Amino acid sequence: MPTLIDRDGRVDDRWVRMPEAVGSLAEQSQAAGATDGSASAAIGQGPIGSAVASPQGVSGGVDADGPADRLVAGSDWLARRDAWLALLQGADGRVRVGIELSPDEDPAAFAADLDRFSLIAIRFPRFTDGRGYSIARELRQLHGWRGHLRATGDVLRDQLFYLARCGFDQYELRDDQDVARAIAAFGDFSEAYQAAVDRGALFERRPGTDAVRA
Amino acid sequence: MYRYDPIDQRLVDERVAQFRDQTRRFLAGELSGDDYLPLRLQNGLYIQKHAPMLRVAIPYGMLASRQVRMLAHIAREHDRGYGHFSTRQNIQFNWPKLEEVPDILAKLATVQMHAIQTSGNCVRNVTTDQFAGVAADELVDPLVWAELIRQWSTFHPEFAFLPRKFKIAISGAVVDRAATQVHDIGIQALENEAGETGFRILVGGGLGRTPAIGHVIRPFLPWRHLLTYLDAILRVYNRHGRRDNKYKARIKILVKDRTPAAFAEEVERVWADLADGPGTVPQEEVDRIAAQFTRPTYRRLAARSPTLEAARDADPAFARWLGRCVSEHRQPGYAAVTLTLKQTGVPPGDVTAEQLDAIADLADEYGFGDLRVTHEQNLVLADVELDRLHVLWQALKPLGLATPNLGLLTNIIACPGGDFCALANAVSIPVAKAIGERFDDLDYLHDIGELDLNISGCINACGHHHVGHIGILGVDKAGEEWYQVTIGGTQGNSAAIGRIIGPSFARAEIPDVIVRLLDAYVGLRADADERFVDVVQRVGIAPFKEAVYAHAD
Repeated sequence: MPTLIDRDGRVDDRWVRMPEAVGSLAEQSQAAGATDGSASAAIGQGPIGSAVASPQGVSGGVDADGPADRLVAGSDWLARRDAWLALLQGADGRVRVGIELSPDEDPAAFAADLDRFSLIAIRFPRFTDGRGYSIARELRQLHGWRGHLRATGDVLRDQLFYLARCGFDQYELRDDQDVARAIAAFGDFSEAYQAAVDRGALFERRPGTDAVRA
Repeated sequence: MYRYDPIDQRLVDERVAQFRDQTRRFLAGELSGDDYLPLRLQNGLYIQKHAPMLRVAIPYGMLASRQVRMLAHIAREHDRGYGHFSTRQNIQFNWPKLEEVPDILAKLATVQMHAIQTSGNCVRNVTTDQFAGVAADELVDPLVWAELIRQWSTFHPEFAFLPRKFKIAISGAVVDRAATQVHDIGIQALENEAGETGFRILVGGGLGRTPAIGHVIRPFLPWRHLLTYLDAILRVYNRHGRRDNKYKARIKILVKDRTPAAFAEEVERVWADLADGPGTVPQEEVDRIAAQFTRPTYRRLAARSPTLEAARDADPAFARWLGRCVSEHRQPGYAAVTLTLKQTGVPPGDVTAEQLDAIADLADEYGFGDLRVTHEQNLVLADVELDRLHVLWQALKPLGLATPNLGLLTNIIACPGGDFCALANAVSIPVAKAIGERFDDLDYLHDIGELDLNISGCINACGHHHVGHIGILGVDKAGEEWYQVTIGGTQGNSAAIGRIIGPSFARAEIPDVIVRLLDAYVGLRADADERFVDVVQRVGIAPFKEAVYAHAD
């Protein structure tokens, strides 16, 4: 089980990843009429990869019954936006939705809906896929996202300093990561040269010009 | 030389601590090889054919004598007594023990050196003109901007895991000595009509598998926008560069796929949200960095030196060296001297610990304690008094640093090649050696004139063969080492990619191939001043191809 942390320690995680929708919306409406509750044939093509056929067969998370905090694949939000909006409307605050973006998704596609989300997660399928850092910065600095921003996937302590600088504030550590060492890694560097989300460029803060010589 | 302030020093020290712990975890089995790989690459550490290889950064090629002495120490204590200067103004050690590398980095940190981001899919060492700050044709001194870019790129949190490596070069002179046209980003500093400093920005140049000349996407970028604009380019690349195929992952592929115009538009769109934002460079920072650079305290000297002229007239060998290895300086009475690391029989760019110590002393004695590394694997003492050139030359000769072949055929640029590098298809150093031995007649070399010969052991083109007037590329044909020859490449202001002349050759044939190319050139040239590469551009490759392949069997 991955451990969720922020820079101060472990964080309780009540968010549940929703299975992605199975098949097209049309197929879902059709299957809604089926009485045996069987999953329809087509497997959803979610960007996260392991699309799971919903055991309920159709609704895949948009039911009023279910977890209070639902983490939805970004592509699923876009594909079934009306259904998700209807869920939020009808649930009247009892259900919260967050989205989890894969590295090839465009944050701009979600910009208009930011006030619907209670969490945004960005996935790193492998820590060497650095697209999530740019997505994070755009969400924070271009689109004004102020809620929690969570790094998920292949998250090792060696990336935490950079992730924090790019605007993440929650981190779903890979299973094998030592939590205490991870917390310490936020302090790997005591300063930073370039402007990012967490602070401006060093040249705005730099004191005098004392030279250092061997 | 840029002097670190306490923050610069602290960041390097913290990086050593971070890498020391990562290495400890790897050696203890707490970090897998796959997870350690990208981390060690970003600290310059390759696992190579025979041993780990450590690439130490020499930011924009500038070194102080105390740093040179530390490099000598490391070569002696942690390696086999030598180092290798690369084609990107770095130095490489081929034999360090992996478990000693954190200690090596700690020692380097005591002289304000490091191996940060010298490899890996991140922004690499920014390179520049070896005569930056002293060249007679300089428009804008690139050193301050190179240091500004170095800081911006160091531990940049958004761009540590790009699709692929990223190389930036900056030039500030009329003649481009930094090969800006064949870099991922090439920056040409200039002044506009109003006297404001700005930059011409090129993107998508590069050598390697698919060589390309960079495209100008911004003819004039005002200086204060430099860092935000670089952020915009890198963000477009980070988000959209290919990650599915390592051989199509450089920015040049993205620029080509989008078309340069569309790519430029995308950059401008991203930049529109960053312009005038927090990364905008204030005048105070430019002034601060400039003040952190030590500058030579030049003496007021006459522009001409009778001492020098008398020595030149008396000694033809000295005159020859002057003509090839000494360059004009903007300060009257001074010159920039190139120390060539291209002695026949020695791998290009290699230098022993003893040579390094001697060079440090020479830098102190003749060069205000500073030294530069060129991307052609030579060294430069940039501020030598004209009066003292003869004495310096006499000191350089026994050290093997005065071979007067700069710009000539035997000033070969070669990658380490198959003797060292796991990527290579073929050896390169023995080819360089064979050519050097075949063409050791200096009179002949001078008659042939300017000729860049570059050798790469594989398609990754670390020897920059694409932009050699003659390029040699090691290829693997049916499991054997063969060599493809190109001609007509150039770096500099009108960069061009060399063209293959025909089927590849066995290694033993290469010196003869060069002979035939040169014989053809001598036969075709309009006069002794027309360079080899100019003849190729004038007549095309067909006559050369014929000369090489049509020899009687």
